Amino acid sequence: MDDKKLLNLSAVATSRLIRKGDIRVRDVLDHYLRQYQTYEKSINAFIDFQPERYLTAADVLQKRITLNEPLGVLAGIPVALKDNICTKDVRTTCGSKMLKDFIPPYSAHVVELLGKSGVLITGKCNMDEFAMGNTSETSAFGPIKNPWNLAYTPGGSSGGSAAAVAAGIIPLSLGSDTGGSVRQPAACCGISGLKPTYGTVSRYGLVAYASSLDQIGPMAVYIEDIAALFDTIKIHDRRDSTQINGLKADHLTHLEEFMHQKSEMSLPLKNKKIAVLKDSDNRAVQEEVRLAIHSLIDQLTKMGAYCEIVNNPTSEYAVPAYYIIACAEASSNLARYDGIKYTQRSAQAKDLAEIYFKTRTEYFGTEVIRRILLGSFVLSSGYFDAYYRTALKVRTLIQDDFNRIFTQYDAIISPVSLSTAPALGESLQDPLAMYLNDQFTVSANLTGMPALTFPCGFDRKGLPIGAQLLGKPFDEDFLIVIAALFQQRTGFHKKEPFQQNYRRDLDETI
Amino acid sequence: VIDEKMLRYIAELAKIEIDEENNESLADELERIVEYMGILKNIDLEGVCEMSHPFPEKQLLREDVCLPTMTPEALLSNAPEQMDGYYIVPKTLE
Repeated sequence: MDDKKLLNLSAVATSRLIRKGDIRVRDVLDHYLRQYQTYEKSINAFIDFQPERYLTAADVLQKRITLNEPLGVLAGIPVALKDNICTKDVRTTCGSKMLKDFIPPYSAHVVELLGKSGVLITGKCNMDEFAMGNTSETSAFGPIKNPWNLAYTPGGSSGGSAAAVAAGIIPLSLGSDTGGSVRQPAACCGISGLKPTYGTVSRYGLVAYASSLDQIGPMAVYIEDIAALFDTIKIHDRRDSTQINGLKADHLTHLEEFMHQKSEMSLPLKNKKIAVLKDSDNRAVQEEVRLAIHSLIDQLTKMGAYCEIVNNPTSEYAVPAYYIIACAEASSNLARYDGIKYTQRSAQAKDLAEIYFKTRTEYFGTEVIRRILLGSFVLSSGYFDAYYRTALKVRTLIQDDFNRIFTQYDAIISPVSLSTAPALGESLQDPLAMYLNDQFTVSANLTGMPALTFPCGFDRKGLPIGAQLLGKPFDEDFLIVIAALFQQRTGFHKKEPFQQNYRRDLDETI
Repeated sequence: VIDEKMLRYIAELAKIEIDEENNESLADELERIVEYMGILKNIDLEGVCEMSHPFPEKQLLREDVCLPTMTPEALLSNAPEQMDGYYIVPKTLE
């Protein structure tokens, strides 16, 4: 099978061919290895990429296939992980100098699940330091470039996971999403990304940033791959007490049945009501992004959905509430990096206090220090009630606001961010402006609801535009169906950066 | 709210050394962010409950069974200094 054909197949379809014996695991990996050799140098998406390790794993897997062992729907497919997901005996850095030599003695639950189902982990992706940032420029391993235009960032913080998929180096990846860190880079790179409902994926082995907001999520070009990877990683884990037991992992089956029964119907979304957040049309949103969202609404209307603009009165409170809570939790979670337990200790330190102060100051980057300081402030005596406790109450109001919308609507649409990918070097000078760009994404983390982003257009500079669907808690199925119907009728996800034209020859009309 | 004195105080809490030269600009930058966060103080929150977790939590109890855990050696393997199953730190008592 040639490279062109492989890029035009979803990972689910490729794995089916592998399991049937029509193609060999090695051939698939060789293809992606060639992509890596061609494109990685220009985008810096990986912190570790170890072909030897996974070629051996591929041969072991090929034997398992020959022996007809039970394997998952993504068996034989390579996947890359954001480098804050622990991999036993393989360095896990969180994009930080603090963990540059950290070798976890255990693997995250999701890593164990991928291994069992025959998915091959091929590398660890570059990211904003400790997942703090939305441009992937705060990494201690250098900034990541956007494959669509190397002068632009890929968004963040899961920028490497997004850029690697967009560049065709890997068909699937996992990121983590605390305030938009799966969805915003997916949007900036023209791929899809899911922030699952809080509590559906085990956080065991995900290096903690803000524990009440963090969730691991799949990233891919094709929506069916998002469904399949989500199914693979959501199996219950006794080691995360916030993970909800008894959830079904049959999103791919649900999607396939829906598409089989209804996708050819003229009105597959008949009787469905979709709310459009009023702020989507705000002037602060880049004009081309607004127009792309309008086209998406037209498309959904043509499919029978009833779309209507709704006001959410708490929208302006989401970003301040989010940053208070996220920084508070981060300052607590990152207290563990004390120069004693995790690999780095300042050589200048003479006593115990200096070990704490000098190690943390030397090995944390600017944005991490900024958030730790903000978190320490909102939790400090005298300000705890005014900031932290207030933010927790506002979090309730925001959840009430969305619950109200969901009593009348089946899903909600908005852009992912105010604009397409920012240029390199543009955002870090003004942290407040950078935080404000998270306006559309943070609510899903504060409330726990699922959110799916997928490409819905391109701006004048040729940079991808992403749409976001928000759903009722645990109703990822409906979001996946809407996005799949959109992908079936449009070709935005099939466009490729680097002018390879592999996926480009397909229908692009809307 | 955040002046240089406050910045020194929270840095002490966070165990971070602050570069005296950049003290003022860092305080200004944090002050701008905190001022923006202050818009929450104008909301009427009478009777609103605090939410620390997205969904109502139940205390989950696992079955009381013995399972293998990681060895002390594995857990200590990333320590910058360790010996005989202990972390090594400078003398803390005179």
